Amino acid sequence: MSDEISSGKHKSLEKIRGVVEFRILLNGKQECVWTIDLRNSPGKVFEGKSPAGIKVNSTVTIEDERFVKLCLGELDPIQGFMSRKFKVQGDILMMQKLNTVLRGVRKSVL
Amino acid sequence: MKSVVEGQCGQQNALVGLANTFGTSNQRVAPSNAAASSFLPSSSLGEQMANEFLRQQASTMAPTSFSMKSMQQNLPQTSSSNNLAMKWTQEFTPRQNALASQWSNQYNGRAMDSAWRQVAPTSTMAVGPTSSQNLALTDSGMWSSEYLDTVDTSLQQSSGTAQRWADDFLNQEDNYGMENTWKDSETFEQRWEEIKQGMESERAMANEYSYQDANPFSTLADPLSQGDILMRQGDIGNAMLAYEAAVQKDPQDAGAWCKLGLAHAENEKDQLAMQAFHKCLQIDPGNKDALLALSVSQANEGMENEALHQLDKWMSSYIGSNVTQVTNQAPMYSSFLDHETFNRVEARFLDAARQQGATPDPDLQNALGVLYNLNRNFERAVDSMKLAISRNPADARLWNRLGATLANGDRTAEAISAYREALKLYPTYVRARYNLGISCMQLSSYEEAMKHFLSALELQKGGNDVSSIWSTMRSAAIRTANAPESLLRAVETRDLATVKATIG
Repeated sequence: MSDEISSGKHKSLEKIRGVVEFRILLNGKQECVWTIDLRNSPGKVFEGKSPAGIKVNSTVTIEDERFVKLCLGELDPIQGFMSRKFKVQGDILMMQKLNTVLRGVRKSVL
Repeated sequence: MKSVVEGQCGQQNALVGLANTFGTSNQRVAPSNAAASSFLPSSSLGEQMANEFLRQQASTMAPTSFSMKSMQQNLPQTSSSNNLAMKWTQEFTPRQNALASQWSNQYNGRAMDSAWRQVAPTSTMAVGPTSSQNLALTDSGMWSSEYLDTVDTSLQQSSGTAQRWADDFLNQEDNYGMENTWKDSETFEQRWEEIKQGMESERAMANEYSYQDANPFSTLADPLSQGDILMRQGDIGNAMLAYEAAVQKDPQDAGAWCKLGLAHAENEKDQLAMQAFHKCLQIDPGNKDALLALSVSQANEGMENEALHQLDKWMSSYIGSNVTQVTNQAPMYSSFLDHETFNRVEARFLDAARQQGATPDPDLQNALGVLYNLNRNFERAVDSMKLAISRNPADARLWNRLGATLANGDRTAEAISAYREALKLYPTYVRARYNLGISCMQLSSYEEAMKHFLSALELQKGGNDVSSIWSTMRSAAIRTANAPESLLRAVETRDLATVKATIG
């Protein structure tokens, strides 16, 4: 997913302009943290928390396998959120934007 | 039985009523041995059951909420009754699934309809104690886990999860986060600045068009007609160059700009296409082809509100009124479609369509199809596109659009047929081939998808590195089973030659 974002359609990604933190869990225990910085184009994806001073707009706490499914498109984010398959804190609106962007990457071209 | 399946909350437990009649009817049968033994394993056992039932009915109140668990506790613990219970649950379960999915559909409103319908069958597959924890909100899950689970999971847990969810929701930090982002006026200012800058840069970009270097057609006397010939022959890459030469010769030729834009679009280069269309519209703001095509490109890039705006202008041009009068609302740079505007534009379209009566204009239907794609009303979009195609069956662009509409509406098989039609008419149609690849990915045939993307890339001329096809190809490559390392690396580095060698 990291490269789907960073090499994806920059135009629509620019709209998001935020920093998202992903806390990946393995069997409930926090395994690692990834940060996606979409404030500028192209976006940056790196492991670890965002550097000090850069405010994180939203945080997603999610199990590892679910995260993979999410990125592959097998798990619908909205559905998953409603059935509490993962937690989102912070700017939900931005997460929804991210969702539409990711969905857009996979759709057919008119 | 039916009354139980249609059971409603808040009423007397229907099964309780059934239990009453069960007890009484058994007593009537009891005297005749033959009838009783055919009804139950042993009549005495049946009598025991009946008596226990009646006793418990007398002592227990009908619960106000339908609780399967307490009902289960009411059933006697003898083995035969357990078998009966098992038979009952097995009978009920399939119907209960249907009910549950129906119920959850109504419960959650139309917007979530398809999502829930997908959830309901899958959730009922999950058997066992853990399922009830995961499906706190999914009521259908609650039903199934209670029905199928005769060993564990206390009722308290199920009702407890509902309560916990409610508490969680209220206490979720999300709400706090949202309030904070908006209370902080500084960040708001900052955001606004960023948005303004975004608008500026976009407007600036719209005025630019970057030409290709070393254009072999620039010396031709009439590159425009040459471009037309090339397009008809299917050589999109060279046609594009020819058109560029044409507009370099005559920058005020709106028609040439439009054709250039269309060539880019067919070549799956929406960014360049949009630039060309903007140029065209600067010269001729009412050019319907450019407006529609620009709208399509914007829709593909996720700029839904902008696309809507172009369709609005298209409609004005269609009915012959002044396009520039179309009110330019304050651009809402939200990702979500502005529903008010959508409804207004839709009304205009439907008005025009109604006036046409029995002979629908294919152009209008084409535009209407694009409109319905914006708000994801794929049913209507497909209908419109089919109408347009019925009048213009040889237009490859329409077939591709139909295919894309079908694919986005999850009708992948039909989409593929539509793409094949488009490719039959126009074998070098890059866009259609790209879409075909995407549909293959939908069906999980990643190797096939890779082949299509490869063809598309080969057909594309000019600036392959930044092509959006590469990123989609990468997704396919990642998911291909047993993909050789060399292939993945080649896709990463955009090495077309190596990819071709590996896939062939």
